[in-house]
Amino acid sequence: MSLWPFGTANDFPSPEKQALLSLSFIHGVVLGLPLMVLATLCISYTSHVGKIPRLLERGRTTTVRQWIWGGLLLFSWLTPLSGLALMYTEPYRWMASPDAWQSRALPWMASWGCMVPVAVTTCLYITRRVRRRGQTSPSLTRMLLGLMGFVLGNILLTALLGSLTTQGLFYR
Amino acid sequence: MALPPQKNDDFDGKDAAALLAAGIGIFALGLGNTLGAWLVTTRRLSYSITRPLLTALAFTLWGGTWAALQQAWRNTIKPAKALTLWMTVLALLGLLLGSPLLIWFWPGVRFP
Repeated sequence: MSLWPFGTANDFPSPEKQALLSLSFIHGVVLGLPLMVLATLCISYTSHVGKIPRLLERGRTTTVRQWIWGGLLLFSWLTPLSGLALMYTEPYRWMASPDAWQSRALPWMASWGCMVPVAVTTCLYITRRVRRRGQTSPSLTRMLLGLMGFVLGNILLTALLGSLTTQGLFYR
Repeated sequence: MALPPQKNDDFDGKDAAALLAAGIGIFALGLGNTLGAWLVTTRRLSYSITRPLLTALAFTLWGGTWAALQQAWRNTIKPAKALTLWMTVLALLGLLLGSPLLIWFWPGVRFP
């Protein structure tokens, strides 16, 4: 067996098979994309933990911030879990071909996705505590930023790996 | 307007518990994949049962560790440097264990 883990050009799905990818595409646009945008907004907020961010200084700052964080928390859980559920219930509408179910990258893609809600929940918990305390330490701010960077990086990695998997790059 | 910084740069017990538990959860999710690959390949366990079960176990471990650490570290201060180091190592190991690059070291792996 070849040690090269990726597929060849011949492994890419035909137009008929690509039509079956609608479910994974819709999932990525409806859940993955908002998650990415919300994570970016929250990184912007996290980078200002310890001081009032200029962007949200006036107006309905608390409400907007709560909606952004709440949305991030919701999407961070909903996206990987619904992705996993769809993969198990509708594998043939998720993958470019039935063979893709045997892709060796599939479980790893799901693993990276599931790490996102763990990091987001922790970030949200700590951020709420920081706001209630009204003070923070440089170490905690750095740690929060690192964790949020991990969240965004993981979302991007999962999206990239997910696209490559459904397109057949990892078929054996 | 900057909020006043804490005098002590170390972590509050509850913050430390949440951070370390997140590191353990991320590591467990990564480990679950390698363990799952091994179980499915060598023990011929069902892929569709093993995979969700291991994910659920990792989430349970994360929640359980968080609750236990929060209880144990209540009203304590934990050193920031050591905790940051542990958290970083666990998260990086979890990412590595969950990486598709591991395929290179698993030439015989079959899914499902």
